[in-house]
Amino acid sequence: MIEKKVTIKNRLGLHARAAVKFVNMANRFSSLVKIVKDGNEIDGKSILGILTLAATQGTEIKLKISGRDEGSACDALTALINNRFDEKE
Amino acid sequence: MDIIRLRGIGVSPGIGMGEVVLSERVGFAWRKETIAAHQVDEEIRRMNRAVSKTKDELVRIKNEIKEKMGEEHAFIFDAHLLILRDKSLLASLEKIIKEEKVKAEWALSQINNKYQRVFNSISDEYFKQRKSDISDVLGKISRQLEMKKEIQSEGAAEKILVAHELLPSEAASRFSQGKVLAVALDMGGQTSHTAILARSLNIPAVVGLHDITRNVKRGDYLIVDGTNGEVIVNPPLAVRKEFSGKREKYNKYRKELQKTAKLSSTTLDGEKFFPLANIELPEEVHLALSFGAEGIGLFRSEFLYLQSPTLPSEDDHFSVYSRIAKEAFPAPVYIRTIDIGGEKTLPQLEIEKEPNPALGLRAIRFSLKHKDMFKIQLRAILRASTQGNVRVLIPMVTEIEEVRIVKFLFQEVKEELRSRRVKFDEKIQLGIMIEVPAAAGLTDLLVEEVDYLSIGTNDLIQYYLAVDRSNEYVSYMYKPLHPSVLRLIRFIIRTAVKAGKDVTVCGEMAADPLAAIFLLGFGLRKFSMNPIFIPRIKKALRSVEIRPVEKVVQESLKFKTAQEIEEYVIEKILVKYPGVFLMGQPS
Repeated sequence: MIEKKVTIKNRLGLHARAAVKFVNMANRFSSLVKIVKDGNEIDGKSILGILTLAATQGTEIKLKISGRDEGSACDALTALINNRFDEKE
Repeated sequence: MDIIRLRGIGVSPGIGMGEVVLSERVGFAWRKETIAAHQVDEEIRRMNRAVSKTKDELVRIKNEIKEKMGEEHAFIFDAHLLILRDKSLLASLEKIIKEEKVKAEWALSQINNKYQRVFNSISDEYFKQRKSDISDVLGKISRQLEMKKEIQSEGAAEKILVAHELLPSEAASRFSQGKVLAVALDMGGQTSHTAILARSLNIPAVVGLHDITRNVKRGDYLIVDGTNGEVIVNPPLAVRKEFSGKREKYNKYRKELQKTAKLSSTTLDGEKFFPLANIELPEEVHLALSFGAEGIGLFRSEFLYLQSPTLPSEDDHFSVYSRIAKEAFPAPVYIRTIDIGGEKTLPQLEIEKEPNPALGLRAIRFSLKHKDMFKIQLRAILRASTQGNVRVLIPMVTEIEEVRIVKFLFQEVKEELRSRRVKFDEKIQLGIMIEVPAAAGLTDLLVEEVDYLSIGTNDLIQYYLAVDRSNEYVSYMYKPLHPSVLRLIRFIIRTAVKAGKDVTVCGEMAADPLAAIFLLGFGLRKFSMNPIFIPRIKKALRSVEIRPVEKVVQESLKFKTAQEIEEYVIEKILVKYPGVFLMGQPS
């Protein structure tokens, strides 16, 4: 299992559009993806879970990924967050 | 059956008559219905079938919206589809059915309650509101479960859709089935997406009726008059007959309009004029062009500030402006910088209440106080100008000093972009609105400072006559043909024409056939208005010749009152061109 801390950088946070991108990316991998914020752990392939996190700009979250392709899943999801979900700001 | 007449806002013209169908708001089961143990598996299958039908429906709506209103509006359906595929959601629905041995409807209502609680406990307002997305999706599944009994029995008949409020997604799916004769809503205003969709599909609509859902029931007979903003519940036969006649007349008129929209914009003696559109939303460009607009003469950028809880970013501005510029290309687009302040406040900023908003911190005065915000907007407009059809329009200029500061800031923003090697139209035109009488009086000097002028007649007349036209005690004095107003407007137009600069009128005068004749006679060629009025103005201006109009209008100014002026011009014009005013909006 890989654990990685990431900070949400885009202005709107993990809003609906970003959550759609995150889930679609996570679904490309067979690994289990969990997101932890303030002790709450949710399924990273569940859009409802992500929205209930209410992760705004500047929030630190932890990705917990386990499975055969955990390495590439972690890289891809981290890159997505760090690239601000392809949003301009 | 009682006859009820209700007044609302007509947002899509035309008349629709027929039986009522009520769009029920997401109805969740309120009664727990249990099932036997051996029925559990079948109940889960029933739910899964409803889920997969809901998916199909969402995909269909998504494609439809993408086509009619653009990709951005379709995105929300991707989110809704992901909610439908959310494993934890489906698993908990199954769990409730299995463990509590209840019908799927009850499971849905329990899950909905659970998520409403979860989202309600979030303090961030944006995330809290996502609860409505979940209700929307769960409600759709619930509706699919009931499909057999309920909606299919409505059959193929065309009906009048009555609802409290219609989400754009609901409106699109209802309208696309082609069974909606007209729409009547409790909520809503002129520029809601539902209103725009109705207009573009030619479905009569009246909104803002407050309590129509409480005044009608399924099977009632309704007349929706989208032209006059009226709804009549259970009219007697005589009234129905009257409105069938009106409907026929309107449909004929509409056909005529479509023909007119395609005709060239030239006067009888071959002088070219330009009908332009005033719009508030990017979705309106398409409709405006279909009515014969040869450009967007006024894009009110305020909606950008009113639609989101945070201030719009430069990219928010940019994506809207470039979309409009692309859709209108090669026709010109005049983007007015924000006209806000006074009574139109911004939720994102603390704006003080002013004792006299009409004379207060509004429009360019507001922008010059919030220079950073203003520069963001200018930068976005410049970036959207690369195709060369974008213009900047500054509202409510009062004195030369303001124009100089604006030009200085504009220059500064251009320099910044150049140094970052960002492309923009180097020849982009900067214009000002003439709507403060002091600016009107300075037209000869102001016109030297800018590339073009746009006359906002609504505000100009109110300020010039010192008449608030929304005040019922004095509104009778609001007269666009007041001799003093006509002299002033003639001065502005002539001065601009003499200086070789472009001039547009973008107030209601441009949309009124008689007033437009005056403007034409003063030398105006660019008329910007609500797109639905373009065909009637085209029709009026196409039926006259320039020289005689100039002469009649000139002579009318020797009369002393608005009424004498009006009578004189109508008489003289009608004698020569009897058809000119024939196509007023039929009432």
